[in-house]
Formats: sequence, structure tokens, C-alpha cells
Amino acid sequence: MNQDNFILKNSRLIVLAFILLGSLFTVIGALSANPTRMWQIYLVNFLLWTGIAQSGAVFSAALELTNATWGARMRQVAESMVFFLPFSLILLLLMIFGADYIFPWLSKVNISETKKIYLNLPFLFGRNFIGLTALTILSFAFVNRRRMADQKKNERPRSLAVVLLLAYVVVYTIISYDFIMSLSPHWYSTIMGMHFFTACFYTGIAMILFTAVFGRWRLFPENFMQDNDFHDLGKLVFGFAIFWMSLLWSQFLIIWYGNLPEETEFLQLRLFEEPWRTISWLVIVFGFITPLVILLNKRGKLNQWVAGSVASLILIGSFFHLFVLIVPSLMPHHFTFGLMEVFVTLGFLGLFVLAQDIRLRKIPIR
Amino acid sequence: MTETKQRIKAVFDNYERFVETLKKLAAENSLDIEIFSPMPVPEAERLFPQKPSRVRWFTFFGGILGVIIGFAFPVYTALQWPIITGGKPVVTIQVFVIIAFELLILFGAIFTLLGLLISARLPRQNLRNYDVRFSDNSFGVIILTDESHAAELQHLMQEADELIVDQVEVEKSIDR
Amino acid sequence: MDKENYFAPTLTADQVSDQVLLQSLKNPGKPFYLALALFGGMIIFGLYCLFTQIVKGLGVAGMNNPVAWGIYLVNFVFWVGIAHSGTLISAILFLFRSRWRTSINRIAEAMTVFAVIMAGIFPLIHVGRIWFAYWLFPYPNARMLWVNFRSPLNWDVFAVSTYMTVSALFFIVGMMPDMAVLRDRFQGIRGKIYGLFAMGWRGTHKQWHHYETAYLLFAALATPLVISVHSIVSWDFAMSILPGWHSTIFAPYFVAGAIFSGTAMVITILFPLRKIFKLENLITDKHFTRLAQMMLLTSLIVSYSYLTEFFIAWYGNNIYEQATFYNRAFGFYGPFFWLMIFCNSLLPLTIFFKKIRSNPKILFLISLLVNVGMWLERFVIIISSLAHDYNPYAWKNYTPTYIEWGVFIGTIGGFLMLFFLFVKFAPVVAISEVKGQIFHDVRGGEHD
Repeated sequence: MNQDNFILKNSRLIVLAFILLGSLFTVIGALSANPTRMWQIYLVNFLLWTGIAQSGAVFSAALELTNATWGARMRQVAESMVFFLPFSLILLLLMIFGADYIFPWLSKVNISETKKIYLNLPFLFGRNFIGLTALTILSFAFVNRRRMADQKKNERPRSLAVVLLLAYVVVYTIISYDFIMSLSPHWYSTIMGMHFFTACFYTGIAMILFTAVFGRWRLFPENFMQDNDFHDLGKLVFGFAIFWMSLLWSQFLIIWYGNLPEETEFLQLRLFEEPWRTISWLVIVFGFITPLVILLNKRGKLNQWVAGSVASLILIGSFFHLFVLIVPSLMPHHFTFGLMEVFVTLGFLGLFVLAQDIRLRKIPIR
Repeated sequence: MTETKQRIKAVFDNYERFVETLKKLAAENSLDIEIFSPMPVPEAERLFPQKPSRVRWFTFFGGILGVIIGFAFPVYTALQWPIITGGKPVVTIQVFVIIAFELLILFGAIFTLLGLLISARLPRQNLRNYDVRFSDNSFGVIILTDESHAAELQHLMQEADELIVDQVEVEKSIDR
Repeated sequence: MDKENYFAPTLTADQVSDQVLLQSLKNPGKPFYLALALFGGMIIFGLYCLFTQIVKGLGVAGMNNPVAWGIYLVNFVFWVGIAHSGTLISAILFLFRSRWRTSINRIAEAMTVFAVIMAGIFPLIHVGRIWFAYWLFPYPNARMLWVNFRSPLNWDVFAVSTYMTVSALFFIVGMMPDMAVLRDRFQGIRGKIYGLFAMGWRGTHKQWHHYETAYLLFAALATPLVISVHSIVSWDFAMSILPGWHSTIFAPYFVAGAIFSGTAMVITILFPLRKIFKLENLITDKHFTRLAQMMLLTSLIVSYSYLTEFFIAWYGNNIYEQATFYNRAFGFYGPFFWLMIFCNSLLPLTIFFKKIRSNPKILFLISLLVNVGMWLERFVIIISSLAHDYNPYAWKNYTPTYIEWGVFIGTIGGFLMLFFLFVKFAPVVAISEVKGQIFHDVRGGEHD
């Protein structure tokens, strides 16, 4: 396999343009009259891409612990996404500039003194930065040790995998509380952490499937992924679609049935008021119904174009999933989706692809 | 309407020889063959490919039936006595999803069982061509053939530990 | 698929049949009958307590005004929980192609079926007039009144009876080829009965073809069912607005807890069983290690849920939630809470050490304590929340009476009795699957 086979051969300029335009719009948005609009989409993207990148390592660690040999090829695809993580640390720190617009409890909404022990700026960024840094280090260490173990028949990094998974669960739970739950300062839901890290992992495997299908021409050697790989991956996506929905459903049903005012405001806005209602349905159709119907069939899993399209719909669904979790908390009655949202998203996409490209240059998939 | 056929029954104690013989037999066209084994044999599946089992259609339609009943029945009964309790609407689809899901599984499973019994022709009294060794550690191949092919097939199966050939009267186009 | 061999390396196909047929089906001797007599005694005591309650009324149980759900429902959740890992080991591990399920899946499935039966008894006892149990089911009665489908308790009726049916079907269909083995080995009436369960199985490649498809479909149906059933059980609590019950994490929390307790019960049962019937060739230490790892995983999820609940109670700034959770840890039932934390969260952490997870004896001890811990978990959740709800005027503690304990002991006896009879009369190990794996290993797994 030669150097020409990397992602960016012809499209490096496009990617760089995405990044530049994204940064431009980020700066413009941050300095504009309504910075919240930019920061909310920034946060959505931050969580989306960090989650995807992290689940690459988590996927590989989970395979390691279950002794699964069926994922040997796709875990390389998964691991190539990890390189975005250092970038995401910087992106996290940039959010300090937007903290006033992101966190209503800083100035706009009054919260109790006890809550301020947990919800205050230094502690929030401190714990998230430390958590994400630890996860980044663990992920890199794991991925490298894993590769070494494959090449030189070293000992398998199983304990590292355990630590990585535990850290993932803890840190992503905290992230979900801090960056999603606290945006509606009076709302709480115990399942939020589990819901969020499952959603991230689900998005991650959808991304692996997407990359596996549409990265074929340039990314992989000939006939790299085989039919049974796609079959397994399809089944995994199918299973997680159901699992993710079951978590979403238990959250919805309990809040809907209990009908307590402090809990229902969150759902009321998202499920019963336009335009959020439409977006929520879009999320369910893209993230659950489509994979459920199409991937139920073996042919749906094996036909790569179909599977890849489903994966891209899931990715769009995941984007709007985070969108509908975050944005209504910040701007409940203004729905905007324009150039700003598109370009900030493309900026993040560009950065993600660039990171993956750097990694693939160093360590090609074989 | 019956005709006379040769029935060749081969019993194998050794798995390797059994598989080897299967490979040889797979080259023959349109064999009327039954392969007996105490556990599923992947080679038999591969060498004598069969259509995907019909059982999955039973499951599928059972599941759909379950979902329909699971929604229709609660809606019907709720409308029989339309009283609001707990501030919830009379027809609460959110809740009936749960009933529908459970019945999807229930009917799916019952229909799967039916599908299995119908497709595998069970339960049955008559253990045709069966030999108790087939549930132990022996493997069997039983072929019904015309007289003209019998010798040739016997030759293919000569590695068997036991080879029995006899004449049987079979109904034409016997349904297996 | 992992390629590890989970059986003793010397195990041959002949031994499988012999071991299963001769070891577990032959006359097991005196200890067996003594054990049966003991279980019979427990059942009789349970029945006595039950009849006392039927004759004298629910007042003989310790339930009082705020605590209307006593240990009858604790036991219900406990047994349903036990039932869960059976299907998990069988179905989910089958879908994941985990080879270690073979040779223990049958025992786990049997456990599922028997535990669901025991679980199903409790709500009926709990509601009092047990002879009206059929009122639970929707049928066109004289006044055309139907059951209320909006009630979580009615979801339970559907969930538990579906679960009972499907796990029994899965169990019976899974046994079909093995029953044919027994049919061919036994004469007389016993052989006839086995023949009934074998349903005329002949083991032709066409039958295997349909059988394998059906088995896969059963597994695919059972997997979401397991998750849904215990979610629904958890919703019996979570749909209310009682602090300590009304929590969105309840479904995954209960599902993980169920699998946790079920896995512990599998270990508890496997360890003596292996010894008594000398199944060391089939059930090796590796099986125990895998089970222990599963126990550890679910223990971690359960601990995560404990922490989350406490954290959110604090973070949510809701005084009722805070009071409930404070009371849970430091109130009247506090000791049970801490014992639960020890058994469910701390003790299983020792499984991280290889020495411990490869030692079945220690695992057996841990599993016993986990069983206790998981029973306590349900006790803590149900009782401590009810005894201490919104209105201080209504607070009242609850202690179970001997009647309630007696019924519980009776179901333990019933569960073990059914299990012992199963071991005596049915193939405890999935013979065909074990053989499949042995022959597969001989070939070196060329078709992976």
C-alpha cells in the first residue's frame, strides 16, 4: 500500500478550507451580538466528535475484554479515530470563552448554594479537563499497547482496557451532567450519564461502519473488509439502536408517567413544542427506526451502500440528538439553523478528518 | 403408487471419514439423501445447501400479529370504559407500546415453535430410517437410489464402518 | 469468536454422553433423597404459612399502612432477578458466539424457568385473595370490565407470563435433541416420556437446519425480552412518584442487578452440582472465571447506579429525595444498606484479582453473599422508601412476620426441589452442543 492511498490525497484543500471557514465562523459568532447561537452549536459538535473519537478506543477495548476475534479488521478503523482526542482537549479549553453563554447558572438562573459547590466554573472545567486528559492518555496508551501486542505477541493490555472502560463511563457521565443536564439548571435525570455514553458509543460504531464503507477506495487495502465484517458490524449497530432507544424510552416513560413539574419541563419543550418536536422525531426516525427496519434484514447489512447510508443517517440523527438535548435549554424559543451552524459543524468535521489523516499517515491500516 | 428402490445405509464411527464421504457424495447430483448426526454438522450444511429455513417467516408474521393484537386489544378495552385515570388519556399509546412489545415477543416465540414443528415435520411417531446410534457418537448417511446407481454409491461410501443395502418399497414423490 | 477450549482437554465425545447419562441420571443415593426431604419440608412449611394467611387474612403478614409492599414483593423481584441470567447466559452469549455458555447454559435455563415460577407466585400471595388470581388476566367478564392497561402492575402480568412462556419454550426446544439421546438409551415408560419431549427427533440434516434457525430466532427474541421484563418490573416502582422509586435509571439499574444476582445464583448452584455429579470435565474452573467476570461487570453497573442515585439526589436539590436517601443510609434500615453495599459493591471488586476469580471455592462464597446482598437491595429499595415517604405523619417501619419468611422459605424449597428433580431426570448439559464443540476443536475450527 503506498502513500497515495490516504484520505486527503485530492481533498486536502477541501478539508483545510472546512477548518478555516469553521474557525472563521467560530470567531465571528463569538464576537457577534448573539454569541449563544455559536457556542451552542460549538458545544453540540464538541460532544459529538469527542464522543465519536473516544468510542474508537472504547470499541477496541471492549473487543479486547470479550476476547472477540471477529473485530480484528474494524478495530483498526476504530482506532484511527482516536487521534482527534488531543484536539478536543484544546477545543474544551476554548469553551471557557463562551462559558457565560453556555452555562445559564453562571449568571442567568439562580441556583442554590449547595449546587454551586458542584456547578462553578473552575471546578467544572478542572474536572472535565483532567478527566478528558486522562481518557486521552489512556486511549493512546491502550491503542499503542494493543498494536504492540498484535505485532510482537506481547502480553495483551487487558487491565488497561478495564481502566479505560471504567474511566470512560465515569468521565462521560460527568460530561453529560455538566454539559447537558446543567444547561437546564433545575432539571435532573439519573439515567442521563448512561444515556449519554451509550449514545456516544452508538454514534461511534455508526461512524466505524460509515468509514468502513465510504473509506474503502482510499483507506484500505483491496478487499480489506469482508462480508462477515459488515454482517457483524450491522448486527452491532442494530443492537445498539435498540439499546439506545430502550434507554431513551425508559427516561421518557418514567418522566411522562410521573408527571412531576420539575422533570417534565425538559420533555415538554422537546417533545411537545415546535420546532423541537419535529427534530426529536427526526432523531428517532434516523437513529432508531431506519436502522431497525433496514438492518433487520441480512441483505440490508451486507449491501454496503445500504449499510453505509444507514450509518450516515444515524450520524445525522446523533448530531440532532445532541442538538435537541442542548439547544432548547439555551434558546428555547428561537430556532436558527443557518450558515453559522453548517460551517461550525464542517469545521469540526474537517478537524476530525485531519486528525484521522495524521494518524493514518503514521500507522496505515493493513 | 410405489416403486422399488435401493436403500443404502452407512454408519460412521469416525467423524473425519464421515466428512470425507460427505464430500464425495456432494459431487453427485440429485441425491435422495438423509444425513444423521448427534449434533449439527457445518459441513453437511455447506455441502448440501438448503434454502434458508422457513421458520423465520413464522417468527416474522407471529411478531407482526403480536404487535397488532398488542395495540388493538388495549385500545378496544380502553374504549369500552372510557374513563380518565391518573390524568392520562384513555387511549395511551405510550403505554400500549409495552403490551405490544411483550406480545410481539410472545407471539413471535410461539410461532417460531410452530414453524419449527411444521418445517421439521415434528412431532412424529415413526422414526423412519433411524438408528439409535445416531444420537450417540455415530453418524449416518441414508440414500435412496435406483438400482442403476446403487453400486456406484456404495463404492463412494466404502469407508463406512457399516454398510447395509436393502430393497424398500417407497411411494413415488415421497414427501420428506 | 474466542477459540479457547473451556472443557477439560481430555474430554472426548464418548465421555459427554456417559458423564451426563451415567453421572447425573443414575441413582444418586441417600444424600439426594435427604435433600429432597428437606426441600419437601420447606415447601410444606411454606404452604402452611400460606394457608394460615389465606384462612386468617393478610393481617398475619407484617405489612402496614405506609409499607403496603412487604417482602412478598421483595421476593418477587428477587426471583425474577434470579431468572434473568439464565436467558442471558443462553441467549445473549449465544448471539455473541461466546463458547463458554456451552455446558452451563442448560442449568442456567432450568434455573430461569424454575425461578420465574417461584416469582409468579408472590404477587398472587401479596394481593391477598389468591383464588381470584385470574382477575389479573384480561377476559370478558360479566360486567365487561377490563383490566387497566395503564397500570404498571398489569404490564407485569404480560411481561412475566411472556417471560415464563418464552423461557420455557426456549428450554424445551433446546432440550429436544438431548431428549432424543435419552429416549434412545432408556426403555419402558421412562423412555416413552423422554420420547414425548424429543417429539420424534431424528437428527437429520434437514431437521438440524430448521432447528438451528429456530434456536437463533429464540435467542434473538429472548434477548430483548430479558431486558424488557426486568425494566417493566422496575417500572412498577419507578412509575410512582415516591422518592427513592421514581428514578429514570431504574430500568438499566434493575436489569443489571437482575443479571448480577442471577449470575451469582448460577455460581451458587454450579459449584455443589459439579462436585456431586463429578462434572469437572465439562464444567471447568474457566467457566467459573467467566461467570465471575460477568458478576463483576454487573456489580460495577449496579454500584454505578447506587452512586448516581445518591449523587443526583444531592445535585437535584429536592428535599424529599435527599431525605429519602439520607434515611436509606443512616435511618432505621441503614445497617441493611451498608451490608448491601458491602455484598454488592465492595466484595465483588475482589474478582479483579486473578487468584480469586480462578478459585471456585472463594467464588462460591462470594456468590452466596451476593445473593444475600441482592435480596437486601430490593428490601432497601422497596421498604425503606415506603416507610419514609413524603408525609412524616405516615412514617412507619416494617418488620416481616414469620408467615412472610415462611412463604419465602417455601419457595426456596420449591426452587431447589424442582432443580434437583430436573438434574435427576433431564440432561443437565446440552449434549449436542458440547459434542459440536468437541468435534469442532478436533478439526481445528477451519471454518471460522
